[in-house]
Amino acid sequence: MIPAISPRRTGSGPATLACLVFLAAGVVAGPVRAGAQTPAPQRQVPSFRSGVDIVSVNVTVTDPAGRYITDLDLDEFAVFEDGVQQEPSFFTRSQLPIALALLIDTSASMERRMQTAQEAAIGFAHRLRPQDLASVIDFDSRVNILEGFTNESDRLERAIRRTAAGGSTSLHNAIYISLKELSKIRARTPDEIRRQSIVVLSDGEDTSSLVGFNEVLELAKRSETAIYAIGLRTREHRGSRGFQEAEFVLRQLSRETGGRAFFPDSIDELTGIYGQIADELSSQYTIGYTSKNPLHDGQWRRVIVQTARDNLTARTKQGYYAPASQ
Amino acid sequence: MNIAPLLLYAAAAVGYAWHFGKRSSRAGRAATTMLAAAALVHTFIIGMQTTEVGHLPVVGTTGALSIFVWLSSIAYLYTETTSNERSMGVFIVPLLALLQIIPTVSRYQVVARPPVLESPWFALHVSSLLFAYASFALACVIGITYVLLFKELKAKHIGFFYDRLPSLQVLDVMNARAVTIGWTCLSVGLVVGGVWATQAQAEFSDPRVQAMSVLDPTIFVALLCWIVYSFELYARRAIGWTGWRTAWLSAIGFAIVLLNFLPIGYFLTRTHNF
Repeated sequence: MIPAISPRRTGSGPATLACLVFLAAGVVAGPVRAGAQTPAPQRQVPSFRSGVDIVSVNVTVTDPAGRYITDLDLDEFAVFEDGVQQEPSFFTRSQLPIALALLIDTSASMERRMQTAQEAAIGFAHRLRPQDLASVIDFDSRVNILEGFTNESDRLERAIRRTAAGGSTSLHNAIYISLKELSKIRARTPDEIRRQSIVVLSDGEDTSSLVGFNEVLELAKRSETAIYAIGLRTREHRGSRGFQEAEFVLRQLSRETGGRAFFPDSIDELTGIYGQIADELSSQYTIGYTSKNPLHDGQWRRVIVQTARDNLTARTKQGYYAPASQ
Repeated sequence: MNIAPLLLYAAAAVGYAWHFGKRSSRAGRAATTMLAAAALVHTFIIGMQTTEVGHLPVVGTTGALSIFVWLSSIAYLYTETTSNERSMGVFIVPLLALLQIIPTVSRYQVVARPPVLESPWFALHVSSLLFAYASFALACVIGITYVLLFKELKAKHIGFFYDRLPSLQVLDVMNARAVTIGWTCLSVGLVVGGVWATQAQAEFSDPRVQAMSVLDPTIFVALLCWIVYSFELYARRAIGWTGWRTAWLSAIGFAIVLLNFLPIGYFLTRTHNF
């Protein structure tokens, strides 16, 4: 499990193991991928002490045209936490495996567009690499996990084809359940370390969830998962209050988690959008650092990542919650 | 003889608590094994008692309580196996262990039923109601866990219950299923009880049978339960109530069931004390 931003105390459970494995993976991969990692941190053999909090951030860098920039080195990044510059101890731009939940809105309003949505999602599923894991979750009045995490694209395809439209929209429930499912994935070896993402396709506001937006946003902020949201506009709903609310929800979730929101005007754009998401997931950097703020106060800490090159935009999660004293 | 299942229920309760607190899957498996053993030993004891008197040992509140604990353990084991969720054991198994103390310390001895209770309607009446109450116990526990998790999410102190309990949706679905099964059994039990009471009143002059009416505390509270659970099902289907509202209704409904079992069953009933 790769935390997008996750402060962890070493020696405190499975999440710590993931963090240690994460760091170990960087060290192991270092000499092999000399071009992919900066030399300085690689030469250091990290020592793991009890009480050390590791924060890791996944960063996407784009140029003004929206192209992904994948050749930056560590010294071209600056990481700030609550305005204080941090010293990265880990950096990688290698394509780590992904664990993602593919969420498809199957509410009644999707009925006419279901087939196109299915084909686009299937195309996305087939772009996943053998080392990636994905699950298929549909949501209308209820959330159904049609296929648990697997790397078999045929099974994902079959699950996507089983989706059928009907009922209301439980968008918050779907994201809440996906976050919960993703939190169950544990890395036991360096090969199992994965960036976690949710890719959600929806066409309207939440109407029947058991949890509210604030609670879901909080869960998302505390998770290690980037949310990519696709909000399908329809001619009749465009500009309506319901869709504006849905748009706000999707934008906020993706912004806070370091993901991205798309609002296509036509269902035909879906294939291209799924392609962009796949490209982005394979074009990210991971930067790890030990926070200079040693307090375990459980407070929100804002993180900003900047690049030294002009005209580039670095996008990452907005921040993380510091560990609380136990 | 009731001490053996009591000890096993207590051991299972400790195992479930350990599993919940430490998230130890080994403790969870041990707890399930212990509970299955408790249910098995309890089945054996009930089977022996049935062989001894020729009918299920449901005469009297203590006998009914023992059967209730047994049915509840089976209902919970079924739920755990089908949902692959052990986290609710910590809430229900200690309750079973506590209730099982009553038949154990009272040294309950099974007694032959009087002629008035020999009707097959009576057996159906009692077994339906006990199964209904076992389902309601499960729904209550699920409802309480729902509220705990919901409050944790609302308070944004996420961690303890979020990490340990299934999602709100799973709890809501389980609650709905348990209430539906319980309500069906309760309805059957009440209708059959009414038929049996009408027949018995014509055949027997036993004052306890003659006193059976809706004003009897046991019957009145059973009808009150039926109204509460009927409203819960109606609210879920017609008004769209889900989540914490139905969770609370399940908890309130079972509080009324317990009222019928303990204070009313032991001290207030004028009719159900055979």
